Amino acid sequence: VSRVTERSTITAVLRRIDLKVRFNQTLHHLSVATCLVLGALLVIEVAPLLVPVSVPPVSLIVMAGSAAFLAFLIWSQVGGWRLEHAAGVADQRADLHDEIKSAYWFIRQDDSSPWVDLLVGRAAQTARRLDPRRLVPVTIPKRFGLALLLFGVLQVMALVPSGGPLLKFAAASDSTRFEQAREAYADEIRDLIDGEGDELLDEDALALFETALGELEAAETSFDDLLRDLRDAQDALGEGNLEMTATRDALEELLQQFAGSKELGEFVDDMMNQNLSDAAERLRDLSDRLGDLAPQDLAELGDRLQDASQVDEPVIDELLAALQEVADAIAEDRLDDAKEALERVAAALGEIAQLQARQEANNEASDVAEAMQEALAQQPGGSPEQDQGQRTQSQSASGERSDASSPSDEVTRSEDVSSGARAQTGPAGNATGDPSGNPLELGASTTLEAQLALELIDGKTPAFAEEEPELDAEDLFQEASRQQTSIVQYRDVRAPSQYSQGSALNAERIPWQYRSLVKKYFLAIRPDERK
Amino acid sequence: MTTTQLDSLDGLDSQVSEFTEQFQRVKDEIGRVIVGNDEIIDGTLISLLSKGHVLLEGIPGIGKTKIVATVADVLHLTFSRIQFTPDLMPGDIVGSDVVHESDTGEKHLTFQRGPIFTHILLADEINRATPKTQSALLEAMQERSVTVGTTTHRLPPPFFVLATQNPLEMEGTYPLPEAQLDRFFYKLKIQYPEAHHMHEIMDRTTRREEPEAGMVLDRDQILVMRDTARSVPIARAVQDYAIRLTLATHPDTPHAHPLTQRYARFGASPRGTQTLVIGGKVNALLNGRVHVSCEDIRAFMLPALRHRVLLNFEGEAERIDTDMILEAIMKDTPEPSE
Repeated sequence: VSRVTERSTITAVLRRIDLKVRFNQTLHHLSVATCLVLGALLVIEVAPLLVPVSVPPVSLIVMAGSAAFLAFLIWSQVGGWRLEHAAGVADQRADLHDEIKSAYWFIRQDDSSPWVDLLVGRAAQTARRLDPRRLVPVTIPKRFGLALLLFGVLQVMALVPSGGPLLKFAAASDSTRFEQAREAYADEIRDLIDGEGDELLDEDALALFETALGELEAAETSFDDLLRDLRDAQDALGEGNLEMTATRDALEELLQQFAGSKELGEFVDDMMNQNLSDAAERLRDLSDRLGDLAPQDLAELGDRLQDASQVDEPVIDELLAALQEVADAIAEDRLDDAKEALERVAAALGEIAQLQARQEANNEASDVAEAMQEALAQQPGGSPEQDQGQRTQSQSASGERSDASSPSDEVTRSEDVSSGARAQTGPAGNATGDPSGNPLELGASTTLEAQLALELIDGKTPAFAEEEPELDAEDLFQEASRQQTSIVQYRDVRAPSQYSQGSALNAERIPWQYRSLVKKYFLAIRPDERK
Repeated sequence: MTTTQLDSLDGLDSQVSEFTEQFQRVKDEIGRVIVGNDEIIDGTLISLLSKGHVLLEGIPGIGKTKIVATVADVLHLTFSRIQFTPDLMPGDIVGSDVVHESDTGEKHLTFQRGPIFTHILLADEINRATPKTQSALLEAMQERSVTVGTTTHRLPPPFFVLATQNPLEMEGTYPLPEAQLDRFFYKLKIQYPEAHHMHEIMDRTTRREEPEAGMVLDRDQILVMRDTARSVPIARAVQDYAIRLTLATHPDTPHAHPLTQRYARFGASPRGTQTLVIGGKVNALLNGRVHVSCEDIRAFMLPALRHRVLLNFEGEAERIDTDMILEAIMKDTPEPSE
């Protein structure tokens, strides 16, 4: 009975100690969790003041922290009593020299012998003297002070009006600038499409603009891609310029035939002023007045038209054919046919006018695209990271010289500009532009294939090339040995060396003053085994 | 002390008290002759009570032989001293068969016991004898018996060997082989006495009469104390601590200490762990406890393991002291439940 009582006494005391230990541990964990949550809240409060970031709501942080702490608390309490640990704590804090720990181990083993009973009996007496409250006092972690401080800071920060980010880090600034530029370019392309309308713009260019706009709105493109799209669109828009120029040249050639004509004077003036629509109206008026013309005027008109229709300009062949019909009809006195043919001439001229208007619209869009390309060329590369890398490259290219005030400052600055231009437009090997600052045109990368071959002198291969082609390491080693550069291989030397080392160390006493020397010697001849 | 008394808790309590008291009396009596050297005296007595043997290492003239002789006097045990020399033969230690002529004129062989047949044997400068002679001690130290020819002679308990060796003069010596070193319970290093101890030594030894130690314990009391020491229980956690300390001296085990991995060739044998545990039990009793603590295990770890850890080439070349490695192991090996 006495033995059972002593054992239960020890167990009861250990349980009380365990409760105290757990309570203190819970306070410790609570302090850590509180500091973590308050720290996270502080970061959430401070971060928007420093950088433009979106932060999760405070309630979410508090709830997540509480849930995590509860889960950890439950997990830490799973497993029941930890009396062995409590025994260790009691021994350590009461300086009991492992008495309680030993006694508890024998209690758990249910071991019984006179010596064990004596040990347990003594431990029970010691345990009765232990006061768990004094042994494991409730300790308020100092970390709660930190938590209080964090809470105070949060309260103070709640009183401070938030005026947006106080600081802009380089990366955040670059990101913002990138987004703003992206939106600006999207607006510009949108205005271009909406302003010029689907009717005037080239279909291919319009498709490219719409693709670029979609990518910009979806933020799926980089400035490099946008630059490429704009260049393609510009190419598509400029395709009609050649035809328009040829048409203008042909019309000028045509007008020379009408010079001095009485009835076509106003028509010529409008044509000279590039008012093709008005010129077409003049022809329609002339068609209405054709019956009222005097015979000699009509004949002179027919001659002029006949001469004009003979001009060799395939670009305006439809117009020339219509003029030929008018001239023929006038010559054959078929005024109704002449009127009808003159209407076709006016219609053909109207079509040319419309084509020219579309091309001019295309040219205007092309000018806008070119302006955007220039702006993009001045813009850092496709992403903030790329921009950072390019600036680093530019800085490394210019070095510290740009900051130094030296007599060669002007030269240094010009070098910086050129290197900056290279950095903004991509790899230097692909840049084929003007280094003075004009927009650069990027060409495709080139590959130069070359094959090295031995030069044949008088049709013979050089002597050194006819020697042994290739020797690997082993062959070289063997070759050196054959040439008696090395007589005995290292691997053959190593075993005797180990034997010598062992015999030297084990069979003989090495005087202290020589030991370091001996050690250095053996370490020198077996470098691979040194730790 | 009867069996009934031993079984009763009160009897055990008094047995523990008596153990501590007797040990203290022996120490006090030795202290009348020997100045200082408490650790050496404690180690020697603990080895005696643990059925072990001691290797004393120290420079000449600092009282190695005096300590052993005083211990023998205090314990009232028979004492023999063998001065080991290169020409010492095994027969000089264990004895030999000699022709004996009776009164009737008959001659027969009689075993003449050597000096090893004693309770306390001082093997002075043991490393000066040849390995063959040194090995004559092996069986006696481990088996506590001597075999001559076909006859095995039991040595009278307690049999306790105290060997000394000089660490300075290494010429003409034969370092003890590892197998024999392992048979020593403790290797104790006697340091040169401090100044205040030197005064005390001068005061005691330069007078007309030198102090003499009286008998405190007899043979039977020592045997009872030996039984008592081995009865002390040890918890598994503490025993595990002793094992971990030992394993930390092995360079090729996962428990190896970094210094061991770098400087040690071999670690302590299981005998080393036995030494830690048994020595810990005696130390616990000396502190009035009936359980072994981690502190008891650590108390005599240096003398228990310093001769059982063998240095490698780098350790020898760097003049690493095994005590330094063991102290690092003690410092870095956590106690259970820490």
